[in-house]
Amino acid sequence: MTVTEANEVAEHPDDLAVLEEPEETPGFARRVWRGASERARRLTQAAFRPREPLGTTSAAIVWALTVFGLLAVWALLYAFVLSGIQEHRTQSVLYAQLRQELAQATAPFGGSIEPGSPLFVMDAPTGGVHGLVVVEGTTSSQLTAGAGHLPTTPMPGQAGVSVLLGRSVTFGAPFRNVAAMHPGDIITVTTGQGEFSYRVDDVRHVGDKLPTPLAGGQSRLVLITSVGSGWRAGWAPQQTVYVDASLQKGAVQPAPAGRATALVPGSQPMKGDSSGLVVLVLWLSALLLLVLGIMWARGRWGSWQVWLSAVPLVLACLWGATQAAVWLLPNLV
Amino acid sequence: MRRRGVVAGVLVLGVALLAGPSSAGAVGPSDTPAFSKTETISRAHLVAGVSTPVDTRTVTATVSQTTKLRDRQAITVQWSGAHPTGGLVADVNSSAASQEEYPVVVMQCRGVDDSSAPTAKQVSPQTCWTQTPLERFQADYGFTFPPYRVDLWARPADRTAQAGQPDPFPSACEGQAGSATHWVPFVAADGHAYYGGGRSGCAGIAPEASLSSPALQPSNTTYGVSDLSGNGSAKFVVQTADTNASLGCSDTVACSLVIIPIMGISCDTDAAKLPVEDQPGDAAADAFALCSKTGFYKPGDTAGGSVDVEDLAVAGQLWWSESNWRNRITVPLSFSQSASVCSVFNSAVPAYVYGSETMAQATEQWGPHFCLNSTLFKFQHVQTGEPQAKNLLESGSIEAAFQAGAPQTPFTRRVVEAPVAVTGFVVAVEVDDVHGHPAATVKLNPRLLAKLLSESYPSNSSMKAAYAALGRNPSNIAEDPEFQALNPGLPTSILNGEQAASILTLSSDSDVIWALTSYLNADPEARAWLNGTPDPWGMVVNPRYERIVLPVTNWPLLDTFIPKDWYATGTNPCLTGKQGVPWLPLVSSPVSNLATITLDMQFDIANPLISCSNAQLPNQKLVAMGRQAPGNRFIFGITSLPDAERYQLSTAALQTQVSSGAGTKFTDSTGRTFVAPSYDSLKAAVAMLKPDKTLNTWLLPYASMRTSSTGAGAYPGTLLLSMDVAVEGLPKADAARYATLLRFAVGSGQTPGLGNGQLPPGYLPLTTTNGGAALTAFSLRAANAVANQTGALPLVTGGTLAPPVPATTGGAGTGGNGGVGTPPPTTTPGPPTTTPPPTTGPVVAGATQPLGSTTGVGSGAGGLVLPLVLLLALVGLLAGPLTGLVLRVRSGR
Repeated sequence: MTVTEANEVAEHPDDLAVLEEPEETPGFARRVWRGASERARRLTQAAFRPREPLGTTSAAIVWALTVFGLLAVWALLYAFVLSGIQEHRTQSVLYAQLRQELAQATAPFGGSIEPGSPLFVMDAPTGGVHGLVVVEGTTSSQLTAGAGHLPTTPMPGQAGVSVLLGRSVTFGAPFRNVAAMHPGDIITVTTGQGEFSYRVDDVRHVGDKLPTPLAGGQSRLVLITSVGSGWRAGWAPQQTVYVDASLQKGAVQPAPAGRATALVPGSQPMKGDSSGLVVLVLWLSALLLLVLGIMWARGRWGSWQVWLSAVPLVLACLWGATQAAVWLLPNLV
Repeated sequence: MRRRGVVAGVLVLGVALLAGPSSAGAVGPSDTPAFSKTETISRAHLVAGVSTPVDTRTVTATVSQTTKLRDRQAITVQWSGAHPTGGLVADVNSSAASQEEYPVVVMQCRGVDDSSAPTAKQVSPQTCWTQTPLERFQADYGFTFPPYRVDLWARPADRTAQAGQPDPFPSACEGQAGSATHWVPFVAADGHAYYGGGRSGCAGIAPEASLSSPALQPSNTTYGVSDLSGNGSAKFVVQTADTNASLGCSDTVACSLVIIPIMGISCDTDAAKLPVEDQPGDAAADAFALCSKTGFYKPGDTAGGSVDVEDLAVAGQLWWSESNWRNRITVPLSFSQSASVCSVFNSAVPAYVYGSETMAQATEQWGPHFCLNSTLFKFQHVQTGEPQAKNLLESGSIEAAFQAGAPQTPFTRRVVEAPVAVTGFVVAVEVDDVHGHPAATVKLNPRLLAKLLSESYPSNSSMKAAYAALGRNPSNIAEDPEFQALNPGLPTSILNGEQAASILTLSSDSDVIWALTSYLNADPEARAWLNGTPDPWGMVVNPRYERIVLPVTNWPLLDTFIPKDWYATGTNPCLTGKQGVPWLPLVSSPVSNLATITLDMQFDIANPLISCSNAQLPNQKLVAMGRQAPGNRFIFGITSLPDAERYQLSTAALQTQVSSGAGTKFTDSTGRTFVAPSYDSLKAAVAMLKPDKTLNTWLLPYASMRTSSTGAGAYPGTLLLSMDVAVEGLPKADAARYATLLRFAVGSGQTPGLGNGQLPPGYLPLTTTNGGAALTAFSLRAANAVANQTGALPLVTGGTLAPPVPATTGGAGTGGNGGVGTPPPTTTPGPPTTTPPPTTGPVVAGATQPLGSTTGVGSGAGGLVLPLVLLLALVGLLAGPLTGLVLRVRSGR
């Protein structure tokens, strides 16, 4: 650039971007460059001679970092806020379904139960559980509904130890406060076989004594969730915690045969659901296609129009991708 | 079309229907006949008080099996020394066959041939079964002394003008009253006498009888044909009370097989000792001329469609006349207990095993062994498709299932697949050669099977003209040069050959179809042809089946071509104007179970639903083509080997290996190995079974069977039958029953035989010499695992998969719990050391259990993901702009 040319440019700073923009500059780099140049212009008020734009590589780094940051913010937003909204919605749908099944006496309580179907309603006022619908299955994806029943165990109200797993951080965190219950607190469960009240015996942390073995024909409920300690408390749990409760009110019901005897992988406490990986890849592919589409559309369409139509799609893809990603996390988180 | 078929069949029937030893019978007890008897019989007229011999013969009859017979079972009757037969008709079971001259009549009769037995339990013409009333009634409307009235040996009462006439005379039979009649009522097991009364059946017929013949399920009464040397044989289908209650044979009601070599009536026209009204008198000369006739036809001549021209004196119709009846050879028959015996004698709740039809013959013999033994229990085999049974087992709806092949995906439940029997599927063939005899052997290769299955034969010339894609293909398999090359001596074109354009197979899901299609899929020739490469003669696959993915459990009907122009011609009124009915699926017309296929093959019923019944009437509909005329049959069907053995179906030899000439035209079977189902070929296949770790059972290696030396002799249709039972979660009592059943199945249940608790023909006994030691040893381990119900799963590769560790109240749960084969096997059963005892189930009161302490499950790296994401957010959002600023400042320098 000659001095003359530079002066001309300086006299028309607004043309700077247009003049200096290389044809092949990718869109994002172009925007960075323009934004930076305007800031610089405000800062320096033409006291400096115009500067070289940022190199393509540098701009890419800046943008990549920013985008990753934004994605991470989205992930946190989803994990702590949006997933709760999703769980709330799921719960109300399941509640409506279960309410009808209970009324028609078709709520399942034995045999082979479709994973993910609502089983019963649970209330534990002191544990912060109110009208929670518990579903069959405890994989990370099934627990997005809130809490799940371990399929190899009997149903509450039937003889034996019934095990429920629930999340403590994400997806509405239905079991966030169950570890705060005290012996003597009441857990009420309404299944297709009736209403049962359980009295909390103990809250067991790692190292505590196991409860006494259950005598034949008795019923016990075990809630499992996760807790964190120290700086991880409340948002990054690292250990399981158990709440044991014995049947206090309600007669033990017979258990129809044909219950599952094996678990699908990822049903045990703190296991992730690796099936989310496939889903995640698909959502990310969709996201990639969408980004390419936006770039293509911006060349032919106005910015506003593009963003107006793209933002909902981007959000939907992000939502799906984050949800699948959360499936990979431990199911009690 | 039927008439021409019959005529063609009759024309080629020439000598007899005797050749063609069926290839069935190879997988059963030895071929030594169970019964053999020789009798000298003669025909001698009484002329002026002097016995004048006409003919004397020494007849020997043998019967393949006489004891432990079961319903609808086929047995072979053979004879020699009989008078050669004339006036042959194609269907020796039809009532028309009774007009043959000098037949050997074989019939099933209730009672024993023992003069010391009570009269009611003795065999007599009145207790012998015929399908139509025509076969037990004679009337003459002009002449008063037909041959049966001048029968030398007949009782006086049988020589009266209206012998055996019902009293009172049924008014419906007025038209039947002739100058001389003879009635042979059929006395049913309940004592009721059905007088029949000629073609119309005016005096009543048994419920199982029919007026016309051939009925859909033909009569077993056989008018057997002797060849010019007097030899003959017949396949006789015995009936028990289950099929024929009027005849009523069972394990408690004795019955006999009566073989009557017809010699002709010994005439006595003087009738010196009879009342005068029964003496021919002036008519004696005419009566003797009629009675002493020796045959209208020459021996070996066919009736050629003519009727009522035979010489009655030597015809099969007079089988009941004493001159013939006294020459009978009576074979006592005894029957197995009916399959329904268990529901009659034992009302206890049975142990149900669902699944494979190929197991049915075995369980029919095993069932009574269990239910009749008070120390055992009742078990019931509910026959369903194997995939369905496996799904029910997987879902926990049932407790045990018989499978004929491994599940497509491993069981996720802890289920052991314990071998209980080895058998095979067979291609049953009812094919007659150019002489009208059943073809001795039929050879099929996978490509021919693929052609039959894939609707690639256009089936007739109209379709061939209409369907361009198949326009160059042979109309049916008989016209296919590949089939002709492998099977010389069979007709190369057949009239109305739709039945030869398809193979009768299953419409439902079945392991049999999986095995069959696995065999096809492993064959390069068949696979290449299915992929679209024409065969060396230019025949192509139906485009709808091109590149079909095999194996499958259900063979799909994919063709959709509708020959509208041909339908419009009105050839088939049922299809005229039908725009939505493709033709080839009608030709295929699969059925839902193997038993139906077996029945169709036993009675030569072609199943293509293309005959228009009640044509042009409002109730017109498409029905099966129906029975094929003997001598002109050409049908194929898939069924099981035990069925083929019981009903004596002929089976095809299947190609195992190709040593030369693959991919080129061939004119004979040189270079190709074909194997029929037999003990030896099943044994060779068992030797090739490979244990499969993932599915935890043995599989037949179809690929290596095509190349290895053992494979050349191994029957490719071999099926390993296993009983699938869960090894955890069953009630103890049920588990004990299934364990007992398993131990029996591989123990005394493998004793070959026809009695209760024995292994029927068609199954290879799993003995050490037959290579079944590994299979039975595994089943015994499986029986223990089933009895224990600990969840420990025996593995076919050796060792045991430790019981699964359910997530427990203790919270630990690191043990594998997935499907079979995913967790590493350990050789010692027992809970993994890191976990406390499972306490998910109710613990027996009073049981002591060491109290442990709660072990937690750490969240591991997964629990740190959220903090990491937060870190990433901070880094990204701070570092991005910061870097930008830094770069800006640097570049602004």
